[in-house]
Amino acid sequence: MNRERAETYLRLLAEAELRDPALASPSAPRPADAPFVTPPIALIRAAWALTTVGALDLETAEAIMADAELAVATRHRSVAAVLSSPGPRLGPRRFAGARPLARMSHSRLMPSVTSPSPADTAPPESPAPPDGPDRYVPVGQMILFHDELISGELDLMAYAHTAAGARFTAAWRARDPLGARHHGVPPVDAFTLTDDRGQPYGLVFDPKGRPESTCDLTLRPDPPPDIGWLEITAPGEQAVRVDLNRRAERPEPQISAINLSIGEHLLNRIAERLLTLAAEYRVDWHSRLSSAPAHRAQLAAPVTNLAGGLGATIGALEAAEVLSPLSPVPARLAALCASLRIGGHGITAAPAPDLPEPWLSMLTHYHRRKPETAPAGDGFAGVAVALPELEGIRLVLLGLHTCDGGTWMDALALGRLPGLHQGALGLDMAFPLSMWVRDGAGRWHAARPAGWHHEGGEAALTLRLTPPLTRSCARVEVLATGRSAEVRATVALCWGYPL
Amino acid sequence: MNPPGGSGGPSPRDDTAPNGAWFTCLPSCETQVPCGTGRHTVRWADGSLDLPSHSDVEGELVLAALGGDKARCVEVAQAWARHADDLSVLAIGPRGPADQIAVDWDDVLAAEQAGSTVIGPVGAARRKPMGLASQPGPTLARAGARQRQMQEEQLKAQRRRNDVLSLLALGHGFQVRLIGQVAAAHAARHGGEQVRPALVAAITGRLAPAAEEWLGIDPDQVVVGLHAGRSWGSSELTGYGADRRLRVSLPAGWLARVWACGLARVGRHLIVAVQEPGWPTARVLGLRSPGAQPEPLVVHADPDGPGGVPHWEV
Repeated sequence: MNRERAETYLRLLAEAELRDPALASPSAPRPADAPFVTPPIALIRAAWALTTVGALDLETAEAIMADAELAVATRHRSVAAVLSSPGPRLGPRRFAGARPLARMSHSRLMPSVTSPSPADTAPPESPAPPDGPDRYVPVGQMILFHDELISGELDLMAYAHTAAGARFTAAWRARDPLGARHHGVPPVDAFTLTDDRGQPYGLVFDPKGRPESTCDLTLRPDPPPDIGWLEITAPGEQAVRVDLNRRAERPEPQISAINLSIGEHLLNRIAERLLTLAAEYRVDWHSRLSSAPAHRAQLAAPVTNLAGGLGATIGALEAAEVLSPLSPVPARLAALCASLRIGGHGITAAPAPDLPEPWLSMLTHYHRRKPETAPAGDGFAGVAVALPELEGIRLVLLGLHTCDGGTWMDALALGRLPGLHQGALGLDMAFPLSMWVRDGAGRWHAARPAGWHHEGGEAALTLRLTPPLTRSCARVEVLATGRSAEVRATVALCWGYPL
Repeated sequence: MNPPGGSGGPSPRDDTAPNGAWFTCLPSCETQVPCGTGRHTVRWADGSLDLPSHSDVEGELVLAALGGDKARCVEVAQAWARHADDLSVLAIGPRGPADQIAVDWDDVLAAEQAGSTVIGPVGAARRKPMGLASQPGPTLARAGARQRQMQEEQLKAQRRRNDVLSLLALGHGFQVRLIGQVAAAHAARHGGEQVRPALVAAITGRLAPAAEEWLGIDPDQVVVGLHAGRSWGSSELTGYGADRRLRVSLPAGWLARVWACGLARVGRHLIVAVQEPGWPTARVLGLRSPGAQPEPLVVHADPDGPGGVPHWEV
């Protein structure tokens, strides 16, 4: 990594942007009501990329951007506009939360070696997880409940017992005969739980920052590690026995060594975000985004905005020597932008003739106008699969559920846990893995973090699948990619209702 | 007088150079600054800022420290001293005679007023602590400390921005002289790894438009390296079409001795060094074409150059 060249690149980019004739052109004045002067998007993207990979420290990047902002403002005669903004170095940092990917482990795969978590990779309140045998059991059972205020179901997907405690990972939904939605929580304090030794327990409900439909149900007190079953009785319902002797499936994951540079890893994550954004905003892939009618262009704005400055991003990564000029990834990004009919990205590489299979799958799916395909109905599946460690993180998959047209995969993350950082462009670069799920029909779904909650050296994590599953399938293939390795695991889904 | 305010700053004079101070090719210049109820002259001459309307600056500073108002002229001189080695000056200041910066004293006043209403002095908003029913917990204390730190950073940034705007409001002649002073300060220290990117960008940003006038080359095709040897540097033209590049290696002092003195391009020559500085006549080294040996030239200044920067002719 060449930090001096990285900084030089960013400063020279600022110089080039300042020479942009559009800047000085009186024919292109700023709107009078524009809230503040912003540096050119290429500069913002390049600065973000360099700080994200750790080639440039936040303070230097902020200083360069602040100077560029003031330089633009003083030539626009828009000093007053600058003054009305929080200011270059005022308020929250532009790149706040960026966690340099470079500081993340990328050399270790298996076996997992516990090492002290560096201060910058774990939140202060999250001690390193102690050693100890953990227990993960797929469940896939539904618990109905009803009282005078609320009725509904708790869908138990998995049981996990770690150093942080024992809990069920569950999805839940309320049922109201009048059709109104309840936003209360299930009356779990009225549930009774007993284990195979007659020990009673209480349940604590906690969504842990995840989507509304997902929660952890923590057992109090903490049970012995080897209980055989739990009998759960909800108000107004029969007792349901949950077998905890069921063996968690231990798939033999395929581990392949790869060698992605940190720059390639970042570009891949941007590509995945482009794919998911285009799907989420239901962009019409058949018309050119840059020439789309106003309403459609507005709809596509997040996608075109994400692609803006990609050329500068690539240039910055190459200057910092974290992306080889021979890397195939920029050409793939160019091909992806061409497929999405996104212009103005500034990538100079010619579009690649082939794309990674998951990207192609999503493109093909949407090019065939499949976005309107009805998603799978509400459902849930028990899963308990521990993946090998990647990038210092061990993921344990603890459930998959579909709800309100969306599909979520629930997981527990252990190891060198990053802090919660929603980075620029909706890219959660704190989560260092690229995750994909292939359904039974062979279609790929991007899985990106939608919720992330630290507790006791662990993190409850929910990954949202894009596009959502359109049907229940007995197995899925999970692909997790870091910089030094990728892991493929076939995961059996234990659905909580008949397929 | 030398600018007041601050010790340990860089010397404005690069007197160690074998061929005289960097500003020897520059005439004095002056401007009017709103100060108190009138307008006062601020003058730059021989590398220093003078305040002819303020005979006892030190005394005024003592009075200001005791609660009196500080004269704007004095504030400007202090800002000049504070930023005499500030690389941000190179990033914000003008790139050439055609690059006019639109900041005037009204903007400075607006900036100061915005700063005082938006931020205000730290802690001034609430002089008496509010009573709390219970002692604040550690989380609250941390949040309070963060807020104080953020306020202090805001105030510091606001002051810095007001400083820069004041210096820009002095006009083009002062702007280029300040750039020369900053560049000379870093050239005298022989730059370091930490300042090289800023110096490379600063030279590129100012050489590129001069090279465009010189060769008609696209400014984006100018590639600058920082020259560290005793010679003037090097130049070459490579490639064709979109791959065409003018590669020039120059020392940081070029910004001060050549560019800031209005010497970047004289006639058909790109000036790369000053052999015998002087005003209004100097001896310089000029390139007729990339890759050629620089030619010694005697150049003469027209004192009526734009914005207080002399216009030179062979």
